Amino acid sequence: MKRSVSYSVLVRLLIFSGIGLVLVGLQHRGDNALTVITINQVDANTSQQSQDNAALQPLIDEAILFEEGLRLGLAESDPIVFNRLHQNMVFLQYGDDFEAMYQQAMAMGMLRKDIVIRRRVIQLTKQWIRNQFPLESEHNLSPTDQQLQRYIQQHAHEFRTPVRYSFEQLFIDPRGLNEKALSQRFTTVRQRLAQSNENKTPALNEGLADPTLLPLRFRLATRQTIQQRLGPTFLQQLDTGADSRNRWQGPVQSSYGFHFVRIEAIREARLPPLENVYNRAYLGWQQQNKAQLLQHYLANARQHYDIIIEEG
Amino acid sequence: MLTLTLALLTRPFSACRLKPIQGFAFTAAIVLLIGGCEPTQTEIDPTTQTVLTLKEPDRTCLDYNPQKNPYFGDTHVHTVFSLDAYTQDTRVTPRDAYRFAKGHELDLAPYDEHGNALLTARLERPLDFVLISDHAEFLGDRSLCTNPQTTAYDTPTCVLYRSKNFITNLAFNLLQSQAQSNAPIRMPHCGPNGEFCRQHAITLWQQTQLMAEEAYDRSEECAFTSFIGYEWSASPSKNLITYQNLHRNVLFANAQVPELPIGYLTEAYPEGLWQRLEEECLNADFDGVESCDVLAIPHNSNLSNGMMFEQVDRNGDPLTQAAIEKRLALEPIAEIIQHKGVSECIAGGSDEACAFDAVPWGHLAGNVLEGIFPNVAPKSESFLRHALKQGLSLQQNTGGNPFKYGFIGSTDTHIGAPGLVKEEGYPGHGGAGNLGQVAATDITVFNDNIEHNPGGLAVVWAEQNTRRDLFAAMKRKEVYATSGPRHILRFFGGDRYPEDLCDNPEALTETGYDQGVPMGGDLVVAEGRHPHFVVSVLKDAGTASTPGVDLQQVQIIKGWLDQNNQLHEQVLTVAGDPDNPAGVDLSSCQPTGSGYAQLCTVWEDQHFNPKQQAFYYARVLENPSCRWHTYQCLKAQVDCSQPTTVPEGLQACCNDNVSKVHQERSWSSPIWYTPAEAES
Repeated sequence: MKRSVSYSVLVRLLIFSGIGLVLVGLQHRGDNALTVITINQVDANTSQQSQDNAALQPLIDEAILFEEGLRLGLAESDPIVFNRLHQNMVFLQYGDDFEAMYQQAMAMGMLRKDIVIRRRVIQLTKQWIRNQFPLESEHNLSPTDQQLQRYIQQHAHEFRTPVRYSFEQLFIDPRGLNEKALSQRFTTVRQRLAQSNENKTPALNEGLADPTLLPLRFRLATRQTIQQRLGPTFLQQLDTGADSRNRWQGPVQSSYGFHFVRIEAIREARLPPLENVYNRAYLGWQQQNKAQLLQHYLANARQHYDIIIEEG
Repeated sequence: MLTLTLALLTRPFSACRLKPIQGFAFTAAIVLLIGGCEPTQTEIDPTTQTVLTLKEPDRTCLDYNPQKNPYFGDTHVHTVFSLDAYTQDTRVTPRDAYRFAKGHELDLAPYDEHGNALLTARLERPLDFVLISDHAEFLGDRSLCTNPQTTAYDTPTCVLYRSKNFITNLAFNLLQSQAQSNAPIRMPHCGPNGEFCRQHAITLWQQTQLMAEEAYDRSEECAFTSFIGYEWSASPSKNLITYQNLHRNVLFANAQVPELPIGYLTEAYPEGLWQRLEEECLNADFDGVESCDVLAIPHNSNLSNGMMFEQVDRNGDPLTQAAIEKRLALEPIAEIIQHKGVSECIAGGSDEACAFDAVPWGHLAGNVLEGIFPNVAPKSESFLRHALKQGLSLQQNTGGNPFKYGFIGSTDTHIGAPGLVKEEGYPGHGGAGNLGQVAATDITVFNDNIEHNPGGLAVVWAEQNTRRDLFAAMKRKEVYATSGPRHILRFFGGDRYPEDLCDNPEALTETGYDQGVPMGGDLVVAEGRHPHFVVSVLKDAGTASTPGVDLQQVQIIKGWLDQNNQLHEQVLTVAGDPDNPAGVDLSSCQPTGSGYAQLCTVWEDQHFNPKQQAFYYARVLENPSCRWHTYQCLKAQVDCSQPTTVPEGLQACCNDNVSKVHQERSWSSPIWYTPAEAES
């Protein structure tokens, strides 16, 4: 049976314990007020899953950010909050007496009741958090080279350069050849290649290979390129023979026919130096840290709140 | 503090300014908000300006090839930044879309109540380059109306924006369609003179640039190229029934871009767009760091109701030489295929291949208004082949040809999935406002309009995968389009290619360049000689799950203007076998019979008349294969022998008028021949 459930979240500000991390700790000194925030059903987007704490976490986070913003006094100097209060309080004719208006609005609980102000305060708190970390902080948005290098290592799968292969190939067109004829053809090619100078590719006009529109020589080709040009089967077999350099191998099947292949070089995957990927690393790091920064702050701030979820 | 606050608040809104710091255009991303303006979601760190180097580097990539490599990409991609993607619950950001293009998995709508995606997708073959082309229109509205901190958030139009339904799309597009009127309506939430929306558009434009930069590989690996751009989405309608698609994707050559995209609501005519691109990019002073360069890519001319290639200006006057030259310079390529149909040639004529993925309506809202109003049928004037021919006439009459278009394909995905062109499992690209992704979790309805398709790819022949090299190739039209397969297509024109050139493929490319011009070029034919064309194509090598389909034939399409000023066209099979018996087993979608793994030929135009202008392009057809909807019919185990068991949403599975198979293809860019006397 679908239950009609409403929740309220009581966020109680605990007496500052002194154990929290520096930023939150510094900002919480002396606070011991009790704050009650009610979240109605619509805001909570409740359903049968609403008892799941994970579903409530964004609401709790918002509540904390809002309380933090008020406590830090961020609303008091904000023009958008002022505008909103002014709109709400215009009937009381405060004029431009901001201080009196603000105090009256506070006394009336308007800061907490107005959803626009609430959203604005949450935004101000997020901005404030981003601005608090000094340049040398782990969470500053201007990373050092060391931080970027560490980021690259942590995201090696994103930054590692692709393996690259340089190889030659000779094409055998199977069209018109039955199995026996094809096998004989392979034998002939194998023998001829064994006799040939290893450093010289037999010319097509020697009749050894068939014409193909494929490149005869691939230079520093990535696996992506090889698969795209020759197909997945070829790539798999290339891996199998990757240990044999400068020696003709085959036949290797592709999407077009068969090939004898000589791998000349393999450029292994590697993590690039920072200067090669600076912009990518910088922006990726920054993006990651923006999210981490907020979570870091919230994780610490939560330690200073007693969160009680009541089923109504 | 108090004094400052009050002082700021006394400023009128018109005094709000976003102050770009002078210098490289990207640094326009660094903005200073002055109090009283709507708060934006700008999260760009000021130090970014001084830290990042954004000038295109001089470099030689590891895969540099003077004879050029084919690079596959998608230049038409919408993300959550676009209104019509957002209203379908697309949550993919440009960053997500780039990651998808590079081979990472992508979450797709629908989402459950916890925000978990119920569908995912991954490309089997990553792309080499992508242009994220979110709509310039309503770009700021997206930021303004979805940011709870804005005072506009609760306005009725923002509530409508966030309601994410069909009405949202309809209402905003109806408004937009009147942009050419004398008094276009502006959304009230945009504030005085639209300033709020403008500010927020700048914010999202900055984010678009940042995410492009984050995706771009500036190293010698040259593994991936992102382009910065947007879509100018002009859809004028005078009767509110027919919506002419005049859309262009605007693609910038580098990180040097104007402060703000130019939308249809601010420039309602193509001429205005070109003019602004000239002023704000080509002729703009960017402190000499690096010049701005740009091109615009018209698309979906098939839905333009005959307007995309009009030969008059906005006032109905004949095109001036200056206008012709401007269009020619700014619009070198056009999108010939995307998921809302093919724009090559009108179906129903002697060229049967023109029926491929043709949509049966001729304007942008045809799918929506079908059944409500009489259908507006496609017009031949809407198609590129027609435009190519008309261009010859204009060249004859004015000395200039504004319709010298090279061809590319793209997806126009509205689910942020560039390059997702696979037929099997197609989730719908949602460009018609369909909630295809929702349907994808219910196999009893199609994921897209049955007339639509998964779109195509853009292929660029360039020395290496950098913005500079790809852009240059687009400008010279050395590009081709595919309907999805990764054919490797070369097309050269000259007047002395040896007939046996294909027997010596090693020499083909070098000879092709040395003795002629590649696709997109202008052919020179010596007196007494005939044009020769070399066309070579390799079939798609395929993937582990989807083997490449054999080729059936190569055609050359020739158009020309005779001495009586009559236009002609001819379709000739020059390689392969159009009568090969290959087919498809419809019970499994497995191919039957075989075709060609590679085709190559040298074709001579023996009917060439050196006094007649002409163009030539190659079209490559595969053997038949299943359309996307046929895979879906199979998956749902539709049994047409028992009509009562066929779900309502899958009736087309049993409709003989809807072809179950099609022939995937590629189109080269044309090569033109212009006799000296027709030159300006």
